[in-house]
Amino acid sequence: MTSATDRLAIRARDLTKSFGDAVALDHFSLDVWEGGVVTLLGPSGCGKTTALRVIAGFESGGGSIEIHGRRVLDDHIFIPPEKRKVGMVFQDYALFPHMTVAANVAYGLPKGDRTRRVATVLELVGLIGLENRMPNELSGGQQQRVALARALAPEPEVILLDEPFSNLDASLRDRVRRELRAILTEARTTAVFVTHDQEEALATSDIVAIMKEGKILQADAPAELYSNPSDPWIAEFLGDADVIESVATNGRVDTPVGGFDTDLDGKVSVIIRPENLQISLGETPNAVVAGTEFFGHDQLVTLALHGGTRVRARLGPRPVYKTGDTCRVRATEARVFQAPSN
Amino acid sequence: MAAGVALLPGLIPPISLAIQVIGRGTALAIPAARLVELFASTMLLTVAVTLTAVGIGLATAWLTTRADLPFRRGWMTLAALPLVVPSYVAALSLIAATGPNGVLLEVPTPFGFVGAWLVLSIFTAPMVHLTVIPGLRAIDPATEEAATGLGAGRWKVFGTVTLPQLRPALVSSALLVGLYTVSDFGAVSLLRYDTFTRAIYSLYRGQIDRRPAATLSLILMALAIVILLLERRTRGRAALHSQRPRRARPLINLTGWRFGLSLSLIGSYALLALGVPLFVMAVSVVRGLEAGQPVGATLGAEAARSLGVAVAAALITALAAFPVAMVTTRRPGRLSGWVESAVWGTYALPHITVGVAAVGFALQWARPLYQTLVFLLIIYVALCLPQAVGAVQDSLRRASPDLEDASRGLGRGPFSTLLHITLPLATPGLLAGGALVFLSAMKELPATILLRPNGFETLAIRIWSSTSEGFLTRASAAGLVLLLVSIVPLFLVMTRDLGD
Repeated sequence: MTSATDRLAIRARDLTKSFGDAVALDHFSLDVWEGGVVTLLGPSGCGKTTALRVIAGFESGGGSIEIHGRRVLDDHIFIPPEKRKVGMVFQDYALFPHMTVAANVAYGLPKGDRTRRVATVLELVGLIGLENRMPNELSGGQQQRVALARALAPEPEVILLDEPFSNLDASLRDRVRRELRAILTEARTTAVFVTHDQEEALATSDIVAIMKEGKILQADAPAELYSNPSDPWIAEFLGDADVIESVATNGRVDTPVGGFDTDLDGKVSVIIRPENLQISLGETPNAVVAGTEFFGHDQLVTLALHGGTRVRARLGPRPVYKTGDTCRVRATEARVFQAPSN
Repeated sequence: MAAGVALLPGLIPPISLAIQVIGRGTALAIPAARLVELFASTMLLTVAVTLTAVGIGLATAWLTTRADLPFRRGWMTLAALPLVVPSYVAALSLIAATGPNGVLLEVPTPFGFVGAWLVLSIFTAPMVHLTVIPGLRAIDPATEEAATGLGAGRWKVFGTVTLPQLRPALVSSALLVGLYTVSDFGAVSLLRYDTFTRAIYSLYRGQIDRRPAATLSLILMALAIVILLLERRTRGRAALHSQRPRRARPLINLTGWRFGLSLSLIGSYALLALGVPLFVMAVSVVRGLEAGQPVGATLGAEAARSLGVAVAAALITALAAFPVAMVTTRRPGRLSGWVESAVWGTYALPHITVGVAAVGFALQWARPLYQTLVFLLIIYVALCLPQAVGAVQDSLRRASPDLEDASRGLGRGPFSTLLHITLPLATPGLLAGGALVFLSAMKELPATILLRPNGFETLAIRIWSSTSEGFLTRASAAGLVLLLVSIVPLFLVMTRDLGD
C-alpha cells in the first residue's frame, strides 16, 4: 500500500465536524501516499463529501491536516482553500456558466503563459477544438472532462473528486472512468475520490477507505478489503453477503452449510458471499430453492436452509434451478466475526 | 455583516410611529366609531377587489397558458402589462372617460366604492396573472390526464385536479392583491372613497397634531403585516408542492363559441386595461391642445426629475441589494433570517404610513433631512429594497455555491471570486431588480407627496394633483409620458417573469 516515493500527500488526523446536532466527521483520519488513488466509499450521509470539503478548505473543522508536509489545518492554523494547492472536481462540475471552456480551464492559472497550459490540459483530456464552447453547449461527459481539466490545470498537489461520475449515463460511466484513471496516472496526480458506488470504488482505486458515520472503518487495497473485511457491516456493505448466526466452541463453528475454523468463542456471525456457495443435487438435501434471478452470465439462487435462514448462491448459468427444488448447499469459504454480546 | 444595516429601514417606520403615538402619552386620538367605519370600508373594498382580480387573473392566465389562442404569447404579455399603470393614472382615465365632458361615456363619474373597485380590480389582475402562470406550468400534465382517463369531464378535471393544485398560487396572489388594495392611496384619493390611506392623508393635511395620522398609520401597518405574514405562509407551503413536469403539455384546441368567447374575454380585458387609458389620455391631451390649454410647459422638468430620482434609486437599491442577497442566500442562519424578514417587512408597509413615519422621524431626530432629496432617496431605497433583493436572490439561487468554492479552490481569494464569479452571476438579477425599482420609484406617489422637497414636482405628483384639481389635460400629458418612460424597464422585467 505504499508507493515508490513513500511520501504522504495527505495526512489528516482526527478531523471533526458537525452541522448543528448532526455529526458529519467523527475523528476521521486518512493517509494518502503521493501518486495514490484513494476512494472514500460509504452510504449517503456518512460524511464523505464533508471530508473532501474540509481537506479542500471549503469548511473548517477540528483536527489537523498536512498536505505534502505543509500544515493547512490545526487548532491555530487555517490555510484558506485558494492557498492549499488542492484541485476539486465537483459532483455537478460547477463549471462557470458565463465563461467559455478555455476561460474555465485558464481560471486557476497565473496570468501570462495561460494559452499553452490550457492547450496542454485540453489535449490531455481530449477536448481540443471545444475551447470556445460555453458549458451549456457540452454533453455531460464533456462537461466532466472540462471540470477535470480545470482542476488539473494549475498542477495541484492533490486532486479531490466528489462523485465525479454520478451525473453520467451508465453507458458512459465505465468509459469515462477508465479514461479518467489513465489521465490521472499520466499526470501523476494524487487523487481522492468520493463515491457511494462500490463497483466504481473497487475498479478505480489503489486504496478504498470504507466510511460510516463520520469515520473510516477500514482502508485497504480493493481485493484485500473484499476478501478480508474487518467487520460484518463492511462485508455486507461491500458486495453481497449473507449472515448465519451460530456459536463457536473449541476453535470450530458449525453452520448448516459447513464447519469452519475460528479463533473466536461464543456467539458468532458467519458471513458468506454468494460466490462461495456450491450446490449439489444428488446428496441429502439441506435446502430448498426459494427464488432465482437470472442474469445471463450467471444466476443468483436464494436458498431456504432447514431452520429458516436464507442464503444466496451465485452460480453459473446452467443448470437452471426452479423454485421448490431441493438440494445440498455447502460453503467453500466464510468469515467469522464475534456477534454483538446483547 | 454590513447587511445588518438593511434591518434599519424595516424597523424605523413602525418604531418611529409608535413613539409618535404612545410617546406623547395620551389616549387614542381617533373616535372608535370612525375606526370601525374605516376598517369596514377598507375591508369591503379589499375583499371585492381581491375576488374580482382573482377571477380576471385566473381567466387570463389559464387562457394564455392552456388554450391555443392565436398570438398566445402576445396576449400573455399584454395581460401582464396593466401592472405598470399606476392606480392614480387608472383613476385619471376613469375620471376623464366619464362625466359631463367624458371622452367615452357621458355618464356621471362613478366616484366612491364602484369607481375604486373597478379601477383596482382591473389593474391588480396582472398580479394574479403573473403568479398563476408559473403555478399552471408546474402542474404535471399527467395528473390531469389521469383524471380524464378516470372518466372526468373537462370542468370536473379543472375543479378537482387543476384548481386544488393551483390553490397556493391563488391564495398567494389574492393576498398580494389585498395588500396592494389596503395600501393604495392614488385611486381611493382621486375617486374619493374613504379608506385608511385616504383618511391618514386628510388627517395629516388637516391637523397640526400628527398623532391621529400616526395612530391610523400604525393600525394600517399592522393590518398590512398580517396580510404579508399570511402570504409568506402560503408561499412556504406552495414551494413544497411544486414539481417540475417532465413533458410539454398539448394546448387545448378551442373551437366555435368557446373560441369566440375566449378571444373576446382576453381582448376586452386588454382593451379596458391598456387601450382605454391610452386612448382617453391621448384624447384629453388633443382636446386640451385644441382649446389652447397649456399642456407641457413644465412637463420636461417633471419628467427629468422623475427619471433622475428613479435612476438614482434603482442604482443605489441594486447596490444595496447585492450584499443583502449574498448574506441571505449564501450564509443562511439566524441573522440572515432576520435580515430577510426585515426586508420583507418593509415591502408590506403601505407607503403612506412610511411617509408619515418618515416625516415624524425627520422632524424629531433629523431636522436637516426633512424635505431633502437625500431623504426622499433613502426612503425610496428602503421601500424598493425588497424587490431588488428578491431579484438578486433569484439569480444567486440559480447558481450553485460550488461555483464560488471552485473559484477558491483554483487559487482565487474571496475578493477575486466575488468580482469574477458571484457578481457576473448576479448581474441578470441586478438588472431585473434595478428595472423593478426604477418602475416603482417612477410611479411612487404617497411617500413622495409627504417627503418631497418644496417645489419638487414629479410626473406622479403632477398627475395626482392636476387630476384632483380637474386639470385633466395636464394630468393626461404627464400620464402618457410616465407610461412611455416605463416601457423599456418593463420589458426587461417581463421577459424574465414570463420566460418558460
